[in-house]
Amino acid sequence: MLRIISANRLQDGTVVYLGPSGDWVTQLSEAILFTSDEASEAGLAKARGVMTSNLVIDPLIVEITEDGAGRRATTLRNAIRVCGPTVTFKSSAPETVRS
Amino acid sequence: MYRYDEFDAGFVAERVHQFEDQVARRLSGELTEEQFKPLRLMNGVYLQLHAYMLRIAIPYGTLSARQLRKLAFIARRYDKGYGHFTTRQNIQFNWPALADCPAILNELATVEMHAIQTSGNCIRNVTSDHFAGAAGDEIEDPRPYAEILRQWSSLHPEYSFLPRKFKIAVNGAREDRAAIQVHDIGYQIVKNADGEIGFSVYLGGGQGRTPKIAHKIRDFLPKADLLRYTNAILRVYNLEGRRDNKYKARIKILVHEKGAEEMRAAVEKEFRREPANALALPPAEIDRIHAYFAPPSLPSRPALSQSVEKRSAADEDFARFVARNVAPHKVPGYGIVTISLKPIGGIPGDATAEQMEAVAALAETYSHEEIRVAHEQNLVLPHVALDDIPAIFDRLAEQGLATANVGLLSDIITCPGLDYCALATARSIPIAQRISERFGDPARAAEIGKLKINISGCINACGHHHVGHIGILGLDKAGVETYQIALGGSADDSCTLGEVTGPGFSTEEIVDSIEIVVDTYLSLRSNRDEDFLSTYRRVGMNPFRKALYERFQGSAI
Ligand code: SF4
Repeated sequence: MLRIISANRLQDGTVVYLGPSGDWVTQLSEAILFTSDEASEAGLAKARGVMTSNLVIDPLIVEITEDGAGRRATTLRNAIRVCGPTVTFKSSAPETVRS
Repeated sequence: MYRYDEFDAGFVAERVHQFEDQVARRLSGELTEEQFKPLRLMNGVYLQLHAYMLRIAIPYGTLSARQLRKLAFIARRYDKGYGHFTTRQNIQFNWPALADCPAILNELATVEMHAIQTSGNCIRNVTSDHFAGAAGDEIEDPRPYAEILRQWSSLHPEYSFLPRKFKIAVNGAREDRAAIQVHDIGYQIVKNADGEIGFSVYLGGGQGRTPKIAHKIRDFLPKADLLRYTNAILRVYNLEGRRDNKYKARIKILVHEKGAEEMRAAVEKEFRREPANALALPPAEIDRIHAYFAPPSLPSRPALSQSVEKRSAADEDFARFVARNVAPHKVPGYGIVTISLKPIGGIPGDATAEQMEAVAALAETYSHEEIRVAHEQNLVLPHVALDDIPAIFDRLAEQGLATANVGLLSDIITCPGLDYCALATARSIPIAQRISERFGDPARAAEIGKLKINISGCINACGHHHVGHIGILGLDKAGVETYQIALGGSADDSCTLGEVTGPGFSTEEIVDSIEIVVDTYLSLRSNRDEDFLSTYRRVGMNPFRKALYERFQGSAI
């Protein structure tokens, strides 16, 4: 089973993933993969350590699958964290709002 | 409406300043998340699934045009161009950056708004009837009392760390439009045999995982004793409420475990223990606050508007709008216009910055600059001359805001659910959208008549599913969204909690299930005037249950 470490960026809450060099990336495809419980727990402990450097909050282990089409979260909740709301909210004219 | 005095303005400015400093210290790493989280929550900043969320209080649901314009500005400048009006008369922004929150709070302070006590175990935004000050059936405007309670409870040192959050609602009309019986305290304005105006007191109502209907613990409380009595209730709760178990910490559990009669006795004892003048509200102070809510001067007009009559005769959509969305005003020739934030297939309670500005402009031109936010997640123009309704309707239609469905099946109350909320067990918005589309045809909706659907994305019941005529609760059953249906709930004066039909339904089945419930009602009602709730109360659960589970036998989860 594949796992990644995810969190929310402190500054703006954006969903981020632990990258291979200990940085936080916004693309699931760039997240570092863990293949065992031990490795992901160790990764989470490391992420918690990184938290103190005030970059992210609430790190957690997320199970994913990977096939030819790419990586996907295995639960709806995590899929929504990755892809955003499943509903299309109405917004103001795009040029006038924060992206 | 209420205007900040020097004290209020200084108090809010100081809070914003403190938060500015706290955010800077968090971002620099000086504060840990553990230290910072309670501080951000005290300022209304939550973390959702994919962003922060800022919840802003709209005291007793009253907004000025200037305030709504400011909310539109914030939506556009600091968020993604929209806001979400909630079932507690608040607004939530779903995408603010933490770093921007102090700036947003600064903007809000310029229009006398804030996010204080929109989270945490304190006394939350005091809610009220969205038709207050305008309704024909009103005994007295409840907002001055809601404002007095707001001022008294803001940062009250004794009540900033209650066992759990605490919600108060005040209703001043004969019809309960503030759902007072599902609040921790519900105050109903009444007139006693001597013609004196005061409050009936309801205690220990609430929704969530253990829904309870409040007990009436006092028939008549004089106005002067409003704070002294509230204080007595909170003292008893603060001392005796359970702090060992979050799920048993609300006052409804204390009332339930202690018994309503014993709770009443404890409150009365505490009430009498305080000297009568300790928190007495002097009539001059009541009058001073009342003056802020003085009704606008509305010149007399003919009770029947020729322009409404003429347009209604020629335009079916307009006629429907008037029938559904316009309520009687206490002054003849005027109406209360509800602006539905439930377009067919839309997201209940959402409004774009442009829509907020359009409503603000309408309030400026036609409604004495006033707007209300209804707990049903709609907006209201409270003081409109009937003759102006055609122009208002046209302007609303341009903004996609003229949906004529108030009180109908597609006027669905929905919490944000799993699309946003970190606590959710299932999505609620897409279910609301699909039901609204299924029943979107105006003729069909009119045929079905008054029917309230409420949807919550988890047991916390922010969508008030326990008191929907049809309530839907989204659950997670082994990783799959499942929807439980309850029937017969109601939040008005005849308050009842809905009864669960049985096993839940899948995402695919839920809309068909609702249709079966509706069709069963249509086949059972004694005549067109018997609405869903009346029919349900007459025939009971069985025929609905039978129809539902015959159809879905074996497939229900
Ligand atoms: S009911 Fe549950 S899912 Fe809905 S907003 Fe409340 S906590 Fe979130």
